[in-house]
Parts: sequence; C-alpha cells; structure tokens
Amino acid sequence: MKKTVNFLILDDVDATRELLRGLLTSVLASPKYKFEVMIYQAATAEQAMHLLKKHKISLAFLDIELPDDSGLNVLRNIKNDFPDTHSVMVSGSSSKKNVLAALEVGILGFILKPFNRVRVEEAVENFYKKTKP
Amino acid sequence: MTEMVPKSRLLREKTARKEAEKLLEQKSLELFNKNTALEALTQNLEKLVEERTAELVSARDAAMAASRAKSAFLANMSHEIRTPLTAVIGFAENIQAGIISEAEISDTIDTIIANSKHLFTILNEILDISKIESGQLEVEQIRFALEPIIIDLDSIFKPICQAKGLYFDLNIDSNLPKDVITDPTRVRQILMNLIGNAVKFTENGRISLNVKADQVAQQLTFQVIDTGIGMSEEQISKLFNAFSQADNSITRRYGGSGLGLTIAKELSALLNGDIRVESHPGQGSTFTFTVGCEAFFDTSLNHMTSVESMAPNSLKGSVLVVEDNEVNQELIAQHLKYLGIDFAIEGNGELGFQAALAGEYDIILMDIQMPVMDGKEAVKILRSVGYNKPIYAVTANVMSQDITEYRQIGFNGHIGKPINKKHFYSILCKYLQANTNDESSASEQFDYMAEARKKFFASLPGYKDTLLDACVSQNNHALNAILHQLKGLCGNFNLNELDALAKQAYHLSETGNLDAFALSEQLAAMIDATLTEFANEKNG
Repeated sequence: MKKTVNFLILDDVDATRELLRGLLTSVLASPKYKFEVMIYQAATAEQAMHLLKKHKISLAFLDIELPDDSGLNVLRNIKNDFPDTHSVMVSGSSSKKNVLAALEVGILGFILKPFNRVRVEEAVENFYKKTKP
Repeated sequence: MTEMVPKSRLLREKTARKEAEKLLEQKSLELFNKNTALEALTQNLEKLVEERTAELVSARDAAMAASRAKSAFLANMSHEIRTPLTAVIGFAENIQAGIISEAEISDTIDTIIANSKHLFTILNEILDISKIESGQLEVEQIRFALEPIIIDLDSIFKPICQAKGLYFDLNIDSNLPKDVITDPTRVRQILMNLIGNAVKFTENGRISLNVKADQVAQQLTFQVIDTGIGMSEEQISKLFNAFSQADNSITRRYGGSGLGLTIAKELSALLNGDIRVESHPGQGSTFTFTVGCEAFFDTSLNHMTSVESMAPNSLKGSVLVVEDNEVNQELIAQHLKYLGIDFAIEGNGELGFQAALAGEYDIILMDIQMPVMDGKEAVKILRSVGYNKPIYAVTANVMSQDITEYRQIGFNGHIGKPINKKHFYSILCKYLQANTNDESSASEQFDYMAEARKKFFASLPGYKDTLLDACVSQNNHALNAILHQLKGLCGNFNLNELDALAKQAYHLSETGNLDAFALSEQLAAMIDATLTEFANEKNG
C-alpha cells in the first residue's frame, strides 16, 4: 500500500490554489513518486495554522502576500512549531528581500507566479529526496 | 721564645701563596685560551659575513637578472600583444568606416580572426607560465583517438609550409593504436609549438613529423625534424628557460612569446615524458617529444561529431543568458539565434535569479562579474531555493582554483571567454534536444489547466464588479488589493494584455496615482471583452 502524505496550499485566491493543486496532481502522477497525496487548502494564515495543528502536514506551499499576515511569518511559525514540515514559498515577487528572508528560515523551493511547471516539479523532487527512507 | 715564629704558621702561609699562584696561573691560562677562541670566532664570523654577503650579492644579481628578464619579457609581450590587437581594431574600424570594399570584407574578417586567435594563444601561454610558476599546471587523462589529431596538424601545417616553399612530411607508424589515454589538448599544444617553431626557423627544405608508439615501453614518441637554422650548444642550454629565446634579437625577428618551449617542456614532464633536442648551427634541429601512455586500444570509442559545423536551427530549447556586457550578450545571442534556440537575456545576477525562477530554461549561462549581484551569489541563491537546472559560468576567470570554486557553489561547469565555439556548442548539445520538428508532448500538460481556467473565468465578473466599485467610490486601498490579485492571475492563463494592464494599474495605485482609476476602468472593459471571447470559444 502506498503511504499517504499531506500537503498544504496556503493562498488567498481561489483560482491560484486550484491552479497549484492541478499542477501538483499532474506532477505527482509520475510513477516514481511512491506516495499518495492529500492536499489541504487554506486561504488565510490563521486557517493554515489550524490545519497544521490538526493534520501532520509534510509539505506546505506558502503564498507570501496574504490578507491577514505575511507568508514569511507563517514560514517562521512552521519552523518553530512544526519542525518536520517542509515549506515551499510561492510569491508574485522574487525580490532579493523575499528570497533571502525565506532562505534564512530554510525552504525546499521558491515558486514564482505566474506558475511554471518546472519549479513545481523541482519542489516535489526536492521534497521526495529529503524524505526518501 | 717570643721571637720565634711558629713553624706551622710559616708553612701555612707558604702553602697559601703557592695555591694562590697556582690559581692565578690557571686563570690566566684560561683567559688566554678564551681570548684565542674569541679571536678565532671573530675571524670566523668575519669570514661568515663575507660569505653571506657574497651569497646575497649573487642572489641579488640573480633576482635582478630574473627581474630584467621579466621586464624585457613584458616589454616584448606588450609589443607581441599590441601587434595583433592593432590589426584587429584597425581592420574592424575600417570595415565599420566603409573603407574596405565588399569584395575584400571576407578576407579582412579572416585577418581579424587570425590575429584574434594569435592573441588568444599568447594570452594562454602567459597564463600557462603563471600556472607553472605557481605549481598549478594540470593535465587530464582521457581516452581519445590519436590519429585525427595528427591529421588535423597535417592539414594545418601543410598549407603554411607550402606558402613558405617548404615540404611537410607526415610519417605515422603503421602499428599506431586507435585510442590512447593522455591529455589530447596538451599533446596537440606541444606539437603545435614544436612544428610551429620548426616552420618559423626554416627558410628552405622540409619539416617532418614522425609518430611512433611503443607498447612495451608504454610510450608515444613524436619527432619534429627541420632543415632550418639550427642552434649552438649554448643556445640549446638556454632553450627551455622561461623569458629567454635563444637570442633576444630572434624575438624581434621571429616573434612569439618565447614561452612556448618552456611550457612544452613542463607539460611533457607532467605527461610522464620529455622533450629532447639535437641540433647544430646551420644543420637543422630534431625535437623528440615523448609521452607516457599506460594504455593503448586497438579500437576507437571516439564518435566525436563535428559540432563546429552544426546546421542552423538544429537545436530546440531555451537558454537564459545572464551577462552585463552588451557585446558579449550580442555574441552569445548570435550563436543561439543561429542554432534556433529560444533565449532571454538579463543584465545582472539579481534579475538573473528572478528570471530563472520565473522561467522554464534548459540551461543558464551565467557571467561571474556583474553589477548589483554577481554570478556566484545568484547561483548560491538559486541552489539554496532548490533550483536544479544546469548552470554554466561564462567567464574569463579560468584558473583552476576559480573553477573548483564555481563547482563548489553549484555551477555545473564553465565556458571560458573568449568563447570557444566548439566547446560552447558541445555544452548546448548536451542539454538541448535536436530539433526534429515534431510537436506532440504539449497537449497533456494542459489538461489540468482546464478546470482552473473555468474557475477563473467564473470568478472574473466578480473581480470586475469589485474593480468598478472601487473606482466609483475612489477607494484606492480596495483598488490596490483587487489589482494585486488580478495581476498575478491573468498571467497564469496567458491573458497577457489583461496582465500587463493590471500590472500597470497596480503600480500606479501603489504610489497613490489617481490615473490608476482610469486604467482600472479600461481594465474592466477589457475583462468584459475577454469574457465574451471565452463564451464564444466555448460555444464555437
């Protein structure tokens, strides 16, 4: 039986979450990934923290520009409270400030909007390598 | 009895005096000995000082001689570098000024290329010498086919010899193995130097290249024989010293850095071989160059296709070029255009890493020295955020410690400047696909888009209303928020006009510019048009 892992997508825009979810599903369809994925979605930082507490999230995709907080803060909170959760930043701006701030905390990828498939593949691949037994 | 001095006291005094005398004598002897020793030491010291002074004088003379040789060398090099550079600049300017007729342009460009390559050789020799002096010269051990290299030399030197009225003979031993293991680049470099010298110093007669392999001694032997001016014993003794051609006046007459043979000798030693010379004035010279070669193969692995003669549009894929210098940008762009490769250019490391994250490039060509953020920092960031695609350093820094550093940072390799076309194309071939003109793979990837696209279009009227509301109430804060969402979204669905307009309006609204409202009204109208189009697309 395939192991199930939980992903989380945090983004305030419905269509963006849908798009990323679609991309992830398509990337994960590759036979080399030997796990099932459950994808949870959150529109606010608060919802995200709630889901993180409730489910064991292995990989979180965090938008930086959120209505109630910065995704970078969410990233820091995750590092503190859920050290086993890996994160990938998602943003409309790859400014040096954003990237360096995320790097300081530690991330598996930085996905720029509009999305491109290769970055999503890389993020999943990096996650797969990190968690392979 | 009172005048009587006791005998015992007399005796004691006498003994004491004797002891005192004896002590005195002993001390004065010691003093004498010490004095003698001191004198000897002083003499010895003086002698030592004299010796050391003499040593220092000779070391100083040697250093001064070396320094003079280097100064003379530099002065000479300056001349050697300026000569081809003058030709390159001069002819290029003449072409630009239109002085050169159409018919002559092709020949002129040949001259420019020939002089540039000559310049490149000189710079490489200077670099090699600096590596030799710092003990950093390295050789490779690769399996390769030997004969094509020899044939290549034949095709280079035969016409040169013919032009000078000389014969060029090539004698290859019939049992020469197909493949050997050593450093092909260095072997070629040494042979180019030896044959080049032979041609340079021979006015009439012939140049011969003999190639032999000895499987027992595990050795390749190359002999370059000329019928040129030859050399005296004294000239031969100085032959392999850096910075001195056999005669300084020879430099003026025959040109060259005078470093070639020094480098060749060092290289031959690194290749477990040697270079020996036999020569007499007026009777020509024979240079024997050996290479240690542990393995010979009777079959060839070598399927090197000629990347230099690649056809236009023969590759497909996309390349990101990060380079601040416009001339270099243009040069790389010309190659990529020729090969039919899509590419984007960014002018510094920061823009470069952002473009890399945003795009789908098969390979990144990254300059090292750039303003704002250099190539090394950009690559460090890219590798830290999990960027996995190949990145090559395109740089003039090609010393081995630089290259090691690039690898450690996360570069996959490097391309030296000036760009060697063959090397550059072979790297592109490694990462890009041959263009076979078939387009099939794209469709399946877009399936998952359909659902998201439908959702997006369903939400567009809502976005439009919010946008118009914000305009009516002149609420810049609300406008800013909705524009922020729109600008990211539209790009995702290839609505590039909407995306551009939303971005423009967003930036105005960021600075509180009231034109944002007018633009947003235009944006709302464009959303309407897009929705109509989408509805037609669905029905049609």
